[in-house]
This record gives sequence, structure tokens and C-alpha cells, in this order.
Amino acid sequence: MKIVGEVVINVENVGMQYNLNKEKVDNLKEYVIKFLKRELKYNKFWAVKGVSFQVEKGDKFGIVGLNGAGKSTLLKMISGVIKPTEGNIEIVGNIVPLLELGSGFDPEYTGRENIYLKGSMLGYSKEYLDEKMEEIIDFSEIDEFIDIPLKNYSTGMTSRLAFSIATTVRPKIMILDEVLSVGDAKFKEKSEERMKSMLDEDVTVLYVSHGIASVREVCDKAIWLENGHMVMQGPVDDVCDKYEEWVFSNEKVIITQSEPAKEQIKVPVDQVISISFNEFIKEGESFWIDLMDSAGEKFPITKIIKDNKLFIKPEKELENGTDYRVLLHTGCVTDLKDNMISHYVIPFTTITE
Amino acid sequence: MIKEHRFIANFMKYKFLLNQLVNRDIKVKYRNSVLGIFWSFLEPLLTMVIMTIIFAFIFKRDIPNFPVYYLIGRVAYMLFSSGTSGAMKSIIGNASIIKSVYVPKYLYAVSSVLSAFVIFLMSLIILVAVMIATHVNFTILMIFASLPIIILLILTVGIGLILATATVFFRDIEHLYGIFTMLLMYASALFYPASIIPQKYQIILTINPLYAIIECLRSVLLDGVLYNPSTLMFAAVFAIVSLVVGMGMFYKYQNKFLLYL
Repeated sequence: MKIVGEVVINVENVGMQYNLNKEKVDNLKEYVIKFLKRELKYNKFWAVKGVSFQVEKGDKFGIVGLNGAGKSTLLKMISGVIKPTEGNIEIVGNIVPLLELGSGFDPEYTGRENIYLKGSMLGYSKEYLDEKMEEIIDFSEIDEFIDIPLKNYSTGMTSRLAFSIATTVRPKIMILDEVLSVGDAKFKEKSEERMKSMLDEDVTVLYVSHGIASVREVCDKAIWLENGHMVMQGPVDDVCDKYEEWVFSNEKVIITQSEPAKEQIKVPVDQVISISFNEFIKEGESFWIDLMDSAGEKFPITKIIKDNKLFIKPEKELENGTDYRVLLHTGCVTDLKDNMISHYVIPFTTITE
Repeated sequence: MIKEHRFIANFMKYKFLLNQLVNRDIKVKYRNSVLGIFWSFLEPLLTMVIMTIIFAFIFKRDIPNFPVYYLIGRVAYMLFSSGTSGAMKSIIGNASIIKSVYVPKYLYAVSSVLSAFVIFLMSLIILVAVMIATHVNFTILMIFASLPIIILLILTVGIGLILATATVFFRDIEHLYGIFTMLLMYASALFYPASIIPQKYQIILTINPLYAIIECLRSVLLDGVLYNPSTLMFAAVFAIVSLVVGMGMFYKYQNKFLLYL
């Protein structure tokens, strides 16, 4: 049962200032030269500033905002990986970050040894891990390979093991970056089920996702960050409504395609680009999308789905008179072999208004 | 600020991790070798044989019981050099985990030193065996060998923490330190008598804390006389100062590690 009012995360006026060297100086010679010439210049900026909120036990707490709004910095401060420049964060209970699941593994170690190693990094005792050992191995379906070195595992096996460790040890507070599902189609279903059951429990969740829809689905409360400042906090639907309203405030619908395009489409710069995708994304399928410039480099974007439409907002202003392509892939990431991935390319050209 | 009780509670929580990290260092080092952990006995023994042949027979240096003389210096030197270089690489080597899970970072550095210490303890078995084989007189004074060993451990942790911190910011140190440890080996009189160094260069040995420790160990283990307390004192002061500096540096800069990893 949820005990109302028990605060498990208390973030108080937290700020994080980065001192970024204008150029990366990582060798002694350069440092000494620059130091003597007084050329060590720093760019100071606040990635997060003046953020305060409280998370109560059992809350499913979402963080929304554009790329670079300070979401990951905030998560890293809460998980303790980085220390805030100012302010205070208090945590009651153990936190397990479900980010970069495979980190901390040693390839020379067997699966079983890695369970102890990773488990100990997450702060669990030997006794506890002994108790959970069989459950972790069972769930990961590694079975007879558990006593061979990890370097001989397939990628799928490694991620199954990582997922199994992270979710079998039941944390009080979980940090999630997108809902996790790993492995082949069968295991994916199983892992999604486990995620859902964990979300239903009394575990406190901090959730960051680019998909506003999944934030609405998973969370009951949310905060909205913009440029490191907290714009709003409250019930998830209120925050998400306002956030979407703001994101689309300068939208003019540019592309409305029900089919992958064959011809060039003209797009004014600095616009939200919307794509109707209901025709080629099946219910429940995962997808990912990239905006590529003419040189084939990825262009940073924010993506949002709303009413069967996919919106992408370029993080920087698009260049005039340049060709861009939207790449859309749908299907299951780990099913590469089964040819279950569909690719769509939507080319367009920017024009001056 | 970190309060003491939190520090201790944290340490208790991560005791198993420390154990795991030390274990991993040792296991991975000897994994896939047929003789495994026995290499930690064999390695010093074989080097000792080679050094004895070269220096006791070919160059004919007049050192009584050269094998034990050399072995004492070597095990101490190996603890220091492998412990400090392990600690130096520990933060960079664990970058991916440091970026994703919070663990007190000093554990990575300390575990590297401790795994070198475990290997050191095992090589002591070989030392004792060689002492028996060469008919060294065992005396009660030998229990005083524990003091220089503790000081050596403190020194290794201290220098290890300084190197771990500095290397995150300046990767050159990694390469520089390899040269430095070689220099240190020659400056610690491992395989020659200290007396061959000309009087005006004796200062090199006097200011070398590692040599001071080796000298103390040799006098109680080999010569059966108590070392000069002031020699031990010098090493102890040096070790404690480096530990304080190392802890201070590590504590001050550890929050910036992430930006440079």
C-alpha cells in the first residue's frame, strides 16, 4: 500500500554548473603552456539551476523537456553519479539506475561471477545475491552458459543477463530511461511484462522519455525542464498538456505523408515537421527516427507522437536551401535477422519563406 | 559534507564490492594460465634465480645471501609499483561504470592496491621458503617487519590516490610513470649493495622512502638486527603525508572526474 506523504527523494534548490574548457586540454604539456600563457578559458554554464521537487514513495515521476534541457544531468545527480554544484538531494532507500545496463561487466568473468560483480556495484550483499542467483539465471535464460566467460556471449545474451540482474534485485527507487525491453521477440515480451509488473508495484520510479505518450502512460506526476530550469510540476497530464502546447506553439504542418515520399518536399527552416505515420507503424511496434543532413550526419531532433502523427522538432535551425532526409525505421531492434525492420526515407528541401 | 558515520555505513555497504574488485583483479590476472595463482610464487622465485646468477656469480658482488637480499627488495618494490600503477589506471579503467552507477570512487583505487597487497602476501611465502633454504636465523625481531610493511601499504595507497586523481586530468602521467618506476627500481638498491653508490649521490637513497622501507626489512629479516628507528620514522612520515595529500586531492577532485572520463 502506498503511504501517502512519505518523501523518498527530496531535491532542494539544486544546481549544476559545468566548467567546460573551450578546448579539451588533457595532456600536461598543453596544460602548462596554456597555463603560462593564461589561455585556459572556461565556458561556464548551468546545466540545471534552482530545481526543487519532492518524490513520494510509490510515485511514478516523469521528467520531460527537450534535449539538453538538463534531464540527464538531473538524473545523474539523483543517482549520485555527479554531485550538484549547489543545493541538496536527499534519498531514502536504495536507487538502482536502469541506464547503460551492460556497464560494469567484465568480459573475462563468467556470467555467474558477473552477477556478483554487478550486484555488488549496485550495493547488494553476497547473501542477498546468493538468494537471488537462481532467479536471475532462470529469467535470463542463460542456463548452461552461466559458467562460461562473458566474452563468449552473444549481444542478446549479455543484455538479457544485464536486464535480469537489474530487475530481479528489487530496488526501492528505480531510474528509467525509456521502458526497457531487450532480447528477441519472445524475451522482449517477457521483459516488457516484468517492467509492467515492476511499475505496478510500490516501487518509486523516475522516468525520462522522449515519447510524451509513454510518460503519460507510466507516470502519475511530472516536471518539465527547460534550459535547466523547472518550468512546471504537477499531475502528469497537466504538465504534458502544457509541454506539448509549448512545443507545438510554432508549428506549421509541413509534411503530411501517408506513404513514404517519392518526391522532394519544400520545408521552411525552424519548423516542427509533422509526419502522419499510422499507415506504416503497426500498433505496439517500436520505431526510431533520424533526421539526416545532406552530408549524411545526424541532425539533433526532439520527437513527439500525438494523434497518429509524428512530430520532429530540429534542435537547431535548418539551413536554407538544403536537402534533408527523415529516416524512419520500424520493427523490433533485436530482430535484425528476421527482416522485421522496415525503413522509410522521406527526403525534403528547405526553402526561404 | 560527509559525516563520519555515513562514511562508515557506506564502507560497510560496499565491503562486498571491495572484496569483488580485489578478487577480480587477481582472478583476471591469472585466468587462462595453466598454473594460475602459482605464478605469484613462481614469478619472484624465477626472477630471483636469474638475478642471483647474474649478480652473485657473473658480476660477483659481495652481498651475503644475495637471494634473500634481492627478494626482500623485489617483493617490496613490486607491491609499490604494481599497487600504484593499478590505482593510477583504476578510475579511467572503470569509466563506464563510474558514469552509470554511484559507488564511492576511492574503492576502485583502494581495491587495486589491495589486490597488489594480496599478491605481496603470497610472495612472502616464497621469501620465507628461501630464507629457510638459505639457513637464515629466525629471530623474534622479525615481528618488527610488520611495521615497515604497514608503512609501505599506506605509502602505496597514498601515492596511488594521488596518481589516480592526476591521471584523470592528465593522461600523460600513465606513460611517464612507467619510466619513473623503472628509475625507482634502480634507485632502490634492489640488486646491488647500497655502498657502491658514491658518497655524494647517497642522498638518492636517503630521500627514497621505498629504499628506507627495504632497508628496514633487510635489517630485521636478513641481518637479525633492529632497524634504525629514524629510518623507519622517515618512511612513516613520508607515507602519512602522501596518504593525507592523496585523500585530500581525491576528495577535492573526485566530483570532476566524470567530466574528464
